[in-house]
Amino acid sequence: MKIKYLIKSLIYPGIVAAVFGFLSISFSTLLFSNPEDGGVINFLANHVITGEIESQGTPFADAAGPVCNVFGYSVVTGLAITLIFGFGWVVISHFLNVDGPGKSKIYSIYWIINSAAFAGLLIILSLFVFFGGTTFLGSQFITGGGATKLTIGLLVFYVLMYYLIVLLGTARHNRSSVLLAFKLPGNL
Amino acid sequence: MKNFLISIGGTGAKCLESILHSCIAGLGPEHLWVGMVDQDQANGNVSKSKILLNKYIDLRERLRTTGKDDVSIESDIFKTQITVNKDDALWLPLEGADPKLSEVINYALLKPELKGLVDCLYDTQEREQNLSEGFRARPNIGAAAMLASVNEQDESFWQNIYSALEKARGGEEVRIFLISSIFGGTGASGFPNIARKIKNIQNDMNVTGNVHIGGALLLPYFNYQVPDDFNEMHASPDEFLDQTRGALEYYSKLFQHQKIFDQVYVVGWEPLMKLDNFKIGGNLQNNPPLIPELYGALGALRFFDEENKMSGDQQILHIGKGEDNEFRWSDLPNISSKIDAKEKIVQLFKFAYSYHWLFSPALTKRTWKKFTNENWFKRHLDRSDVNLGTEAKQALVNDLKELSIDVIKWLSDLNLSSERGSGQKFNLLDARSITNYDPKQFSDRIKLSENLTSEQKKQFTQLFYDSYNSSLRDVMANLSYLKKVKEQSGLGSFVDTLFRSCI
Repeated sequence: MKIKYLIKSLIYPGIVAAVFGFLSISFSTLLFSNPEDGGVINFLANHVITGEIESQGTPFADAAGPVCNVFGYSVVTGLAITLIFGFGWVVISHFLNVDGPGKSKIYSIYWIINSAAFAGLLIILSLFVFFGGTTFLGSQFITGGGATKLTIGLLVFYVLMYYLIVLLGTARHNRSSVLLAFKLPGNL
Repeated sequence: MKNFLISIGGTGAKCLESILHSCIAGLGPEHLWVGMVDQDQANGNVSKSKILLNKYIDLRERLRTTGKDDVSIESDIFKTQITVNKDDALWLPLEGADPKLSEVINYALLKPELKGLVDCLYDTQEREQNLSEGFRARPNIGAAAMLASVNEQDESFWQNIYSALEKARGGEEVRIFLISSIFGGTGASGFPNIARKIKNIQNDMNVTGNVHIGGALLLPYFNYQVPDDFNEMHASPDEFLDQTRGALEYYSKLFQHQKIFDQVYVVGWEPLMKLDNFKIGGNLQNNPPLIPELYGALGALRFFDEENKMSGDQQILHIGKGEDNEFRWSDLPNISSKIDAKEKIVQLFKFAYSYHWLFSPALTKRTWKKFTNENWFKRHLDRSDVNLGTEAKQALVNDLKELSIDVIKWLSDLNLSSERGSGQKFNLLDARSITNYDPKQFSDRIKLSENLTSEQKKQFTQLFYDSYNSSLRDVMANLSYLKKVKEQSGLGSFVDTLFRSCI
């Protein structure tokens, strides 16, 4: 396998990673800066953080900071998982033994396993971070509905990023293994 | 530059087989006119090469038709435009159903003193021998027959030589190469007489420059067992060495007195390779391809190469393999500093392998639609000018498959039969891993299975000894990533890119 083919295959996924990565890192930077107002805080106040905290004697500002940290942590970790699994597949797809016409389809099972492992890890991350874990202080302030919303948000964002990376980066001769990748033009 | 190749006799035809395969691989010159000379037109060696020659010309034309199926002018595959005599590529020195020497020289009409002279040179059996199956390793018969017939200037075969020499007079460089054995009948008699005839025509036409004549002479390189009870006149391997000694003395004197050749390539083999089958001639004489023939072929292609400058002297070139009892790719000579013969032959074999076992089953009328989503198909075949459902495209797909089989069998047979015949170790390729070899068979020594096991496919990376071995995965990757050539059309893009992918 020629390394130059792999490098060529990394161009479009690299662009996808740069765009999504920029959004992700910007967002996590904002979260780690403990903002006191703005859209993020409003969203957390309205949809994520339990409304009972002030009645329990905890000021909202004391809860918002830890929740932002938890959220920021999950965004960064989600990005890392996506990059590892997305680019991992891109690299692996160039080394799978596609030794003739029709052989690529066999490797769709590998892709499904990789994708399932990726999605599973994201869900485990969300469960661990948002659903009542004790590791993070902010977790106790997140409602069940809020945790679900954050989980879905994270999943949509990173699954989209992962799919675009594998769609555009899978070795051309192995595209039949990835859902709908065969629809791409031959020279892309 | 105009290039002319004349293969003489059975060995010449076997060398032509190697030349044609080399030309498919892109080792040949831009243009080449090919003529075959043999009295035994039904001979298995001759007819096999003639069939391959016609196949080459046909496939090349179909794969280089602008707007239809075009691999483009930049492609190396089928690079050489081969042309032949318009009537027939094969020239029979003697016409007629059952020609005899006595008829050729009008023996019955000769004066008694001339009859006496003829009787001294030829016994009754030689005079009355039916020559429809060649000159039976009797160069004395062949020489008389050749000399009696090469004066037929009206024959279209010779017209091509005349027109070539006309072109030389006009300033174009013309190279003519003869290839034959030194020890047979047709070759041994035809080689010097045809060369001298060309030289004489050149002198008669007063063409002083621009014409270069080369030749490859194959010294004895094989022998065979003749059954004890075989009484017909035949080529006897016991006489090969004596005949060769006589011929070499003759050439030595010829070269001293007259400069005919610019370059002569002399090829031999030690020990002689034993052939399993003895056949006197005719369609059952179908010898395996052997490595000295490839040497002769590469000599011819070197002669035609533009890098090969003629010194003006008469050069006798010889080459030897390494001293040990093993033959490797590195023992094969290159054609020029730019063209690596080994690399191209390996590339051709890999192309044939990939096409025959991997791609042709995916391009049949029943199967091709299953692969339209694959990248190799999208890049090279998913266009309006490639409709694999048509009869014409399917015919091309099948003919390419036939050619691939020829290539696989040729190189496998070359390796296995040379090894078996010489007792030396031939380390070109591991042919046994993909073929069934039966040396006792007359014509179909190599058998190929329809499909390969996954284990055999894995062996692709170890198929060639002493050479860079890519994997089938590399071939698939190359096919998907190598840059396409704009001018290509039809199946041309796929064929050329697959060939380039097989490095």
